[in-house]
Amino acid sequence: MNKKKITISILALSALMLNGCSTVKPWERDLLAKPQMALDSDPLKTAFDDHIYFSKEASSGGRGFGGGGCGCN
Amino acid sequence: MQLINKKLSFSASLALATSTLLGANTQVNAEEGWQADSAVLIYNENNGRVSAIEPAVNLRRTYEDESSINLRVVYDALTGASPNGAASASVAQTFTSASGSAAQTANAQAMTSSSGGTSRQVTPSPNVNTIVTHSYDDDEGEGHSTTYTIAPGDTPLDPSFEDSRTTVSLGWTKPLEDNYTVNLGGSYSTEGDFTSFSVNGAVAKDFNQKSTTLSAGLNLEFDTVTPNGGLPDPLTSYATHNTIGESDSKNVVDTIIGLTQVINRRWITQFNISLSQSSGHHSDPYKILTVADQGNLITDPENAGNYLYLFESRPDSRQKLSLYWQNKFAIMNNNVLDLSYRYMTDDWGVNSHTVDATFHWQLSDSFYLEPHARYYEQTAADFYTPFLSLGDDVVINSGAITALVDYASSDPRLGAFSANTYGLKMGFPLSDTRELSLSVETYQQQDKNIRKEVAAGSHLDGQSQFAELSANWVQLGYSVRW
Repeated sequence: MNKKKITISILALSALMLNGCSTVKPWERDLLAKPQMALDSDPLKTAFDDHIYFSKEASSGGRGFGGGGCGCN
Repeated sequence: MQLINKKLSFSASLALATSTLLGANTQVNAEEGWQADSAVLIYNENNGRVSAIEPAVNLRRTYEDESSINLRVVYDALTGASPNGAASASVAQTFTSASGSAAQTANAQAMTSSSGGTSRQVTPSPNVNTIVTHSYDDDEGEGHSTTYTIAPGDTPLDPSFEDSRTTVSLGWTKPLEDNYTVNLGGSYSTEGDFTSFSVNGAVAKDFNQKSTTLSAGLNLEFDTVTPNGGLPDPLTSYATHNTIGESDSKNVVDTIIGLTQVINRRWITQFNISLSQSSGHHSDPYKILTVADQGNLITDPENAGNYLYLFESRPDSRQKLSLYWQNKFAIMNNNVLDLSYRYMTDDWGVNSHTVDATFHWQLSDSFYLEPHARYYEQTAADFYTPFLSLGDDVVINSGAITALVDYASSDPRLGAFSANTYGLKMGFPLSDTRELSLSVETYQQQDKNIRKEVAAGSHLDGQSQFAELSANWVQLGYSVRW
């Protein structure tokens, strides 16, 4: 896939996302504040799973830095 | 007071966007104090392949100014069998692990020992049809080789796969003025034949009353591989086992840019772009490829009585680009849908798509369920091939083996496949500060490679060209705050 096209699409998407939303006031953040709404609500499980996928598939990273620290791939 | 706490907690969840980029931090708790997360993973692959047990502890201390330090220690013990890269064939095949220089033979019954060594037969754990002989070289006191024979029709698995790995990671996060947050970290990992050291840093800035967070991170990784038996010379005879040195290195530079946006009261989204550039040694020193003539195994011209296998060869650099998009939707008061998608492309020809969905279903204050599904698919690397063909990829002239290709690997991780994961986590919050959890996951790959044609009736005719992996794992977790 054309990397330039991807970059343009991302920028366009980012701009849309930023424009399309109004600021959510602090007192409206009751749901967002719940631990299950954290982007990574179980970091040890995420780390275990990512490590398994890193050692069995050709892809890694995305959410954070890609795997590494292992001679398994 | 309630509102203040929630506000704090929310700014913490945005700070998590940064720490997620760093990949080394655990759940943020903005309240001053300690948090300990512990877990143990028990991982098993079907058909007697790899088993692992992996305990992990994560300690976090959060200070009054919302800064925190984080320490993580993970230990990983692996045993079992791993595909050595040779093709399944209709005849028995005998191999000697790279650590040894023992004579080997294509005769299925032969069990040889290295010179001057003692030999013992062990119960073949990975495959009932595999005959395994461990040979210990008493003269050197160091070399130890494993000769194993694979029965006709079985996937060649090296049964001597055994390693343990310890990883220690440290991280530090601090909120600064003007809605900036910085994060610094480092990690050290060591195992029998591999060490890795990395340092990372990230900076994040909140905008729009903390509805938007932009972050950027950099990770530098330095790896050293010291294979048992030395570094094999790529695309040369496995039985001859020429080496080009004792160890080699690989350096990786990862950069990531992320945007986290609160869309509304129920929806938070994150978008990351990451670029990874690695240079140095990428070949797997234990992986080999069969050389076949019209689908028939051939004799190694340098080692009479052996079939010909060559050590694999990968490019000395790799560039990967990943796009990652995650969404969390609050449904009713306590349930959450987590949906993410990742696209990855690299200059080895691998393109992959990953879709992941988790539903947090809060059934009561003291019990929740999280069903999970993941779909993954990847194309094969350009140099992936299940075996090499005499004439096209390799030629033999006057007993000399010459590879016509620069790179080749039959590592199934570089082949084309799709994979499904299904899982379920059960969470038991015991109090406001303690939680126990248990999760189970099952993983199944499906072959998507184009089958390489072989002559009818040859050794490779009708044989599997890709070993689909299936695995299961269980994780037990316990977290406490004080």
